[in-house]
Amino acid sequence: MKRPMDPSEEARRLESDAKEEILSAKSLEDLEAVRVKYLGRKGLLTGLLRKLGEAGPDERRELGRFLNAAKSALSAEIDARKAALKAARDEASLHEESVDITLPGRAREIGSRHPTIKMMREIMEVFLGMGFTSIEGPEIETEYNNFDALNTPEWHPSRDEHDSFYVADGLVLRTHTSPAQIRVMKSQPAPVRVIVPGRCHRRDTPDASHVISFYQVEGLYVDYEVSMADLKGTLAAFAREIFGTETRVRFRPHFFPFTEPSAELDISCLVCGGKGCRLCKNSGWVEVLGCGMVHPNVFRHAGYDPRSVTGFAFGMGVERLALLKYGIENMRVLYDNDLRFLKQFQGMHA
Amino acid sequence: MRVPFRWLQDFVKIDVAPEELCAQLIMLGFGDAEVLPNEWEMLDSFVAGRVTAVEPHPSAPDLKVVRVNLGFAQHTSVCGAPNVEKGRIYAVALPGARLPSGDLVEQAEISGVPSECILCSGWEAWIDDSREELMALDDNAAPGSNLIEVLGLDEPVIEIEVTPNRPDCLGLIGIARELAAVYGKELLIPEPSLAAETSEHTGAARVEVEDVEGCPRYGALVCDRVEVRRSAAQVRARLRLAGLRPINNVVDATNIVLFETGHPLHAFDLARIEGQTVVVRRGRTGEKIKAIDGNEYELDQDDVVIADLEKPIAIAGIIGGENSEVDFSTTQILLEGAFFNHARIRRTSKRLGISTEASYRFERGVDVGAVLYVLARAASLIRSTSRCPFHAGRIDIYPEPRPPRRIFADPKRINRLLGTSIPEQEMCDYLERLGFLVSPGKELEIVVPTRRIDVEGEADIAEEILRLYGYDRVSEQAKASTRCYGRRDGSLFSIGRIEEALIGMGITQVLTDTMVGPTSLDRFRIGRRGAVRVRNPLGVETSFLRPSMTPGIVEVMARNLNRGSERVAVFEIGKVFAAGEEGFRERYALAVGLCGLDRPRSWHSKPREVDFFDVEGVVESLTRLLGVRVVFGTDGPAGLHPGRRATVMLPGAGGEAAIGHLGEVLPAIVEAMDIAHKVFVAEVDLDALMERIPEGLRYEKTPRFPGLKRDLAVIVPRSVREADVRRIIAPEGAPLLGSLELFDVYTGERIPEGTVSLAYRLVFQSDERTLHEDEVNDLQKKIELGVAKRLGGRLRSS
Repeated sequence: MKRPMDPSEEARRLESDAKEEILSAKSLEDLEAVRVKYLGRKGLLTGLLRKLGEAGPDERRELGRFLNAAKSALSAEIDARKAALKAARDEASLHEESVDITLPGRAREIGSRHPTIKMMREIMEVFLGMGFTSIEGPEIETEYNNFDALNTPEWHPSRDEHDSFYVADGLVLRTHTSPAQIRVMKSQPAPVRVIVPGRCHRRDTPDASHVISFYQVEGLYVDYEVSMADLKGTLAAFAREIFGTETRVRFRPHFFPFTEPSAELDISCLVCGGKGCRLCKNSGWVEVLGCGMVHPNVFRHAGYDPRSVTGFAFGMGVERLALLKYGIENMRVLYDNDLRFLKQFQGMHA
Repeated sequence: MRVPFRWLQDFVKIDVAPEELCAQLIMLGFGDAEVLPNEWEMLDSFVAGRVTAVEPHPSAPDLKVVRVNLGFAQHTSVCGAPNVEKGRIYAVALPGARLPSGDLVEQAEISGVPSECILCSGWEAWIDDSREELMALDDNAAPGSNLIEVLGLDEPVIEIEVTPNRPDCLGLIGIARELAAVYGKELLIPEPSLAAETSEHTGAARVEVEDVEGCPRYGALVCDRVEVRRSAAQVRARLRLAGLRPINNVVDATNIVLFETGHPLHAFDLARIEGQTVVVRRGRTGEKIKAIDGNEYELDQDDVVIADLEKPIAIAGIIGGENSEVDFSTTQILLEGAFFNHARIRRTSKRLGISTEASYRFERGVDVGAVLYVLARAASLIRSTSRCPFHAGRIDIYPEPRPPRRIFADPKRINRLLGTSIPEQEMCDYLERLGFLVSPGKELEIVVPTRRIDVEGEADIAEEILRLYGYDRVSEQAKASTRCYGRRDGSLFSIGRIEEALIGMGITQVLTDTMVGPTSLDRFRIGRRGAVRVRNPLGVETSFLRPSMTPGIVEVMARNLNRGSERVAVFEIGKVFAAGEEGFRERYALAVGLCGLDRPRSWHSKPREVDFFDVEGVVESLTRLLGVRVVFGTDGPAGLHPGRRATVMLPGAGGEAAIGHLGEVLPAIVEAMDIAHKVFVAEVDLDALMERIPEGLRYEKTPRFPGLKRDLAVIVPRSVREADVRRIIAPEGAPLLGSLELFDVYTGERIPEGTVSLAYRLVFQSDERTLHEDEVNDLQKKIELGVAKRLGGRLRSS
């Protein structure tokens, strides 16, 4: 007759079998099966614990201690093994989930600002930082504001460069944004520190450097004791801000009916740096804007006393600056509105 | 203005290279000064040749056979000119030279005699249009030397820009004066050999000035026994350097004086002046004159006219008449040197469309004080070309002499204006160098030379001082002012934000023409009645100020599609114009155009063609950005698809005001423009939107209690508009209905024909408490009932 197995021996054998199976479990599922087999409600170790009552009191205490120790040891083994298997599985699944990051993303389409407007806004920003506020004037302007009040009477030869479109008697499409000088001075006392961006129109035949409708930024600063030195400081700083700190500037005499003294501002050629090239017609300099001290007659027309205030004014063609800055050779390209051209101005960089 | 470099040295001796002179001229205010490339390369194969023998041609009686010494060779030439003379030196074109006719000179046989070169007339030598006689050169010219050098055509010519305020520098002496002042050199003004005070004219000729306003001063010299002929070759060449056309010694002399002094003169053939009387008067309506340019001009009352007792003989200050022109038969001339009213000259020149060297200068203003000088100088030049000296008699009609202008200027104020500290003495020195007379005092008293019509006040004096002091010596400073600072306000700033938002939506900014024409307005069914008409357009297709930007933006789309774009999304912000009863109105408008694919092709998802709701969505997003509520009405302009267009309206106290439209461009228009896609546009009055941008942003608390979500699908007849459904749901659900979001629109087999299913997500929300399922269920029932009752709809069974 077969003698029943010694319970403590059976327990030891179970423990060592279980340990072996835990270590050899290849997956979380296998491991779970091992746990159920030994520690589950109907598990082998659980069965031994349940049969503990059948043993004698001494044996029961000793066996009980042994079984409980084995149970917690196995639980710990299972947990450890579980962690290891889980880590391995996670790693495998991360690997499987990898994507080809070189595929293009779902980029949001972005548009672009027209280069003329981009240039205009850059100009505005610089002057804004220097304390100029931007205002506007109408495109349909009185002939008086556009010419006469700016010291350019009907017979004045400089009207030749301002051939204008008429929409009624005494009403023209403004040929420059300068008439806003008159409007702003008539509307408020000094000090005035404004820029006036806007579209202007001249009755010219378009060519590589002229279009009929173009943008200008006018500027005016009137206060007590504003001098030519302020004009130079302001506009030289502007030119360096737009074209780079290395840019050299030159003011040379010129003529505008509404300023006296008048000047034009040249910058060192952006292409050759002053050595002479086609862009600067070998002079090393390119013209950027016109400026000067406000003519006393303009103050009189605007109702200011030229004996008490002084001021400077300037005006620049936005397209011309855009051409210089972006290296565009023909102004008409700006108004062809070809998306392949326009998209090149998508970036924030100037 | 052309400045021949050596000619300039007649008036001021400056020992610098032409390029350096240019740099100096630029800093004096003569912009764009540059040395012109030599324009006489075509004379490379022309030389001077001395005629050593003249023989008759053996077979052609009109021709001669001439032996020419070219220094390096002896050539034979067959020549038909009447004036070929043994011993004289002529311009010779060698084989290989190109003539103005385009012909190349080559060795030829003329009526059996070989001809190796051509003796040239002025025309053949590219100098002028004299063809009848050979152009004799200076007797000292060395045979064989190049014609360019012999005639001095190798002289560098500087081209400068003279601003309209400086007519005194439209002559070489004026420029020389500027340079003399800046270099501290002496100005050399030629003394006429006939003094300006040439004796009073005592002969038969008379001058009457009736139009004193038009002609404040009229001077004349009457010269008898004048011999009219071609000027010497060197003189003719010089005129070409100046950019002038040689005519004859008399006209050439007036042109030389014009070019040197900037003061135009005119010579009349006195014998052709009726009654030997010059009358300066206003034109008479209907009066006509044939000018020396060959055109006939009709005069009017505003013109200043030079006439004789019968007829106009010149348009004063602009152009002479053919009927009194000096020609080779003239023996008695009347030289005119005058000062005309610049505004009158300019008006006539503009009206008749004639611009001449004379009118260009008179309309800018000449020197009233130089009249007698320029006359004497011209007469001296003419006399030096005549074989027998003549006497000139002077007439000077100057009823109201104009004293030179006096200006008071304060050196302190000038320094304040310029931001400089130039000593008073230095200022005086600069002014005196430029010919101003300065008397010191509390303020400087300055007498302005009459030639300087531009100098009227202290500011002008400041500029004169600054030009000589140097613009580059003024320091750069910048004054900060706390009283004015850069404000970020005004519509330009709102527009900047709008531009950025639209760019962020993938839309690109374009700029189209302000001026449009009837073709494009008609095409887009836009009436011309309210459009602003340009009175003097460049062409009929640019004869209106755009009342709408839609045509422009659609044209941009068409062009880009044509060039292969698959997706065009563009916008423009600019002014549109309207003519109303209260005058013209200009407003900022925004136009958006979408066409083609809704997004670039990609491997993620297939792009689709844009539709109505894309363009509607742009407007919705934009109005959200502006914080302005708009509603859409079912109407729109004739240029849009009647079933796919909407009016954009601003709700207001007095009802809704239309501020724009959006929709699909009428397919017929699109087809006519060869566009193969549907085109969608929106155009709104941006000023109206910007006026409504709210101010004073205040926050609202976010909900503290969780909301309850319910999905609700209703089936309504298709005639019902979604907005109507929404308009019922919202009040029925109030006040607990927090948001209402349409997430599906379905038509198809699963619902009855003629109906549409609209699915909404409703979120119910309370500020005070967590809502009970029951109360929300009740609300939902109430909504369902409302929709069913009022729109004939029902719930879609789930």
